[in-house]
Amino acid sequence: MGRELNRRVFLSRSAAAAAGAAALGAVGETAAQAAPAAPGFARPVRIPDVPVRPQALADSSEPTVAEAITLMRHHKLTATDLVQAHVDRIKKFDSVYQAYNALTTDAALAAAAEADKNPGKGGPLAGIPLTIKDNYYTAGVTTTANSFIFASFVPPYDATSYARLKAAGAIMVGKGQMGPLATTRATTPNGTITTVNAWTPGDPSIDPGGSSTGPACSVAGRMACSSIGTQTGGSIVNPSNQQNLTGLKPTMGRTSIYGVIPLSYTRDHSGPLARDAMDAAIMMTIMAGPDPNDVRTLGLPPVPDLIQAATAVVRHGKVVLRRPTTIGVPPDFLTGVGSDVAALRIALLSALSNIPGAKVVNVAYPADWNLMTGTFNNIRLSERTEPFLPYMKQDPKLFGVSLLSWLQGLFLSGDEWVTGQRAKHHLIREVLDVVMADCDVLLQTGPVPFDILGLPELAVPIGFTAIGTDPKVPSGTIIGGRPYEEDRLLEVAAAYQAVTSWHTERPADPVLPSAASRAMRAAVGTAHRLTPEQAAEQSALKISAFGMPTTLHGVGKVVCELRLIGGGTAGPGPGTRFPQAARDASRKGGIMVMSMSARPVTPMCEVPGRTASCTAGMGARSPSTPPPSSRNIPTACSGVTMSLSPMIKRMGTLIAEIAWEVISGSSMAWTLASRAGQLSGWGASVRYSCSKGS
Amino acid sequence: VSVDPSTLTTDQLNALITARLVISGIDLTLLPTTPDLVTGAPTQAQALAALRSFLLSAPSAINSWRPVATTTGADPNALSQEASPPLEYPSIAQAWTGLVPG
Repeated sequence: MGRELNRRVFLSRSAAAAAGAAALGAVGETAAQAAPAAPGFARPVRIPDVPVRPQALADSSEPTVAEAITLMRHHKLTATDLVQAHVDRIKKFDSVYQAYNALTTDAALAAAAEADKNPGKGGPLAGIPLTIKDNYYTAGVTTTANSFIFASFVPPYDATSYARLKAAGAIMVGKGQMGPLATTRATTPNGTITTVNAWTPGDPSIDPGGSSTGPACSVAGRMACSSIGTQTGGSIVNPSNQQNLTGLKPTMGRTSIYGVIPLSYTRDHSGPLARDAMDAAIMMTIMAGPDPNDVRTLGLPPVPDLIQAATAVVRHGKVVLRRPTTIGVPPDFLTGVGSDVAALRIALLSALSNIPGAKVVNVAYPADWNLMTGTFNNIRLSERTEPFLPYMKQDPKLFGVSLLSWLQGLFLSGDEWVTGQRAKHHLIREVLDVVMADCDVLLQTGPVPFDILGLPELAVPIGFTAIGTDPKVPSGTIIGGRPYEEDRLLEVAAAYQAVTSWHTERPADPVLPSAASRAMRAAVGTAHRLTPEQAAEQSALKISAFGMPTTLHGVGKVVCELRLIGGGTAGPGPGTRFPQAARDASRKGGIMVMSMSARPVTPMCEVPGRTASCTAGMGARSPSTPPPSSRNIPTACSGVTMSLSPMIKRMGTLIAEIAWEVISGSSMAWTLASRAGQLSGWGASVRYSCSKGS
Repeated sequence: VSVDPSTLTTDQLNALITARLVISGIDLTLLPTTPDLVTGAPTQAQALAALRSFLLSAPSAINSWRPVATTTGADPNALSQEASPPLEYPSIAQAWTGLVPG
């Protein structure tokens, strides 16, 4: 039957699920409940006409939401044509992209035909095809969160955010593939990688971002005009950055998360992954606002005019910022990335500086930044465990590859969880009163700090880099804001996108595989799996937190990726004591998954008996030159010698070298070193092995 | 008795882990003993190793932190009790306490 779900199948599945629920008394119990009234879209919204690019006129899968609305308003495009164009691409290319785990294209085409019967009457989003991440309740449509747990779960009502979009006339074309239970990049529940980056469809090793992987891929691949995802630890902004989209993670409470399968109650956000700032503003305008079913949305400042905020202001022929805005640049913004990404970021800062009304300033982190945003990131794990405990009791295998972090949540005590909530209070004062004391918005080097605090973030494309044999991989930045100031973020993005064109670029169509390569691809797909440890690590941190791309090296060869751990307890300087986890790993001769960052970080994970890879991209420094403490990454372990075999990728004569130096019999310090000027930056990859030394 | 978590043995940690899982109603033996490609679930040994690693790193790092009081001159632990009361939703608290314009 494929993944197409028509209305008849929805109903039959609903009936089957209800029958199953009656027998099993598990997931289906929810389906048996009465559906509460879903608050629909109510506020009036005015979406202005926008200039329509020639590409959008020539190809109905090309328009932004705003362009499509403009075209339909002026009778140059019908909803049917718009939806059909995207459905055609789904049918043609999704076997490669694997962006969906359920399709509703027949129902979507029927809805589009219905919308065309009453043009202009169907709501502000009438006829706009959307991808809905598969953790949003969609009434009558299976909602799996890509987990064994919800494999047959058919929600009895729509999530509020989706209900509002639907009430505004939007049309769902499918449920977006996602990391299992919203943790990693999209895989099957057993860890087999599915969705690819739409910019590198032939190379599943390139990180497509997660966990809203399918929504991002579907929009980038022009299979939907826009999409909605969720974010607990970067899951909207990361895939947006990875796939050249504009993603808006709002302030906690700005949008309802009622009807979204939870990951962490205090950190789950819903928001759009869109083609540009205007589209993100349109989607957010529809989604935002109070929801009686979600107390977190009540008693908050009114939703500002986001569409106006996303409209670039031109004065005397020059793009200017709508309001004077000071943009903060943190200390690791340029140093924590490779040279090519750093060049893009420098260009970003230059472009922003040249916009009248913008002022770019450096800001500093407080001394305990890594502790607050790294170690204390673990606090969310208890929230992850609590709502899922019945399933853990039933059978922990239901969690598939994702289980470990759910188990970890059982091992933080109540007092430690309370300490974590005190740390949040401490951190928000540090962010708002210290880090952002002299700026209105803050460029981010990772999404986690503002996820912890529930502060708004906007992902914006800033260009492309080459990674390995892939010549054009998107790179983006994240702009963070003060509470409920999504409008300020959109103002900055609108001005930036008015003077740049990165956001208008689309990936080339994928090459459709032959029968032989399909067989090979099937084999590759089987080989590309995440392990439970990798799933826990990807869930624990966000690889692109420092702009570093995720890389899987070689089919079936590399089983562990480098993970960036956002923060840690190791201090600078040789001989620093290793955390116990690392010492424990070293005793077993196992591999430590190392952290590489411009700031001290903590190796975290032990993966005995496996090889690991890391992507080097640190600032270049001669081994003979003592690095500043901010660039020295100290670690120490006993009884282990780490050896690195340099692997040169697209680097010509450039060589990356990591030196491990034994400082004493019981400790080891390592410094990422390279010959000055020789490290090309991101894409330089090294694989290391670990063996017991003397 | 040392209170350094690093002195805990693997057997001690395993005992703690299995006891806690039992108290929570979770049967570790439902996990496979060898890699299970069908479900992708970790083996029992993998789960124990991951939890040992977690126990030796995260909890003590978290419970070692105290908010620093802005005033001094008395018992710092007492003054710390008054600093940074818990906020489950810090951004929402900004709005609910009138600290957000609008």
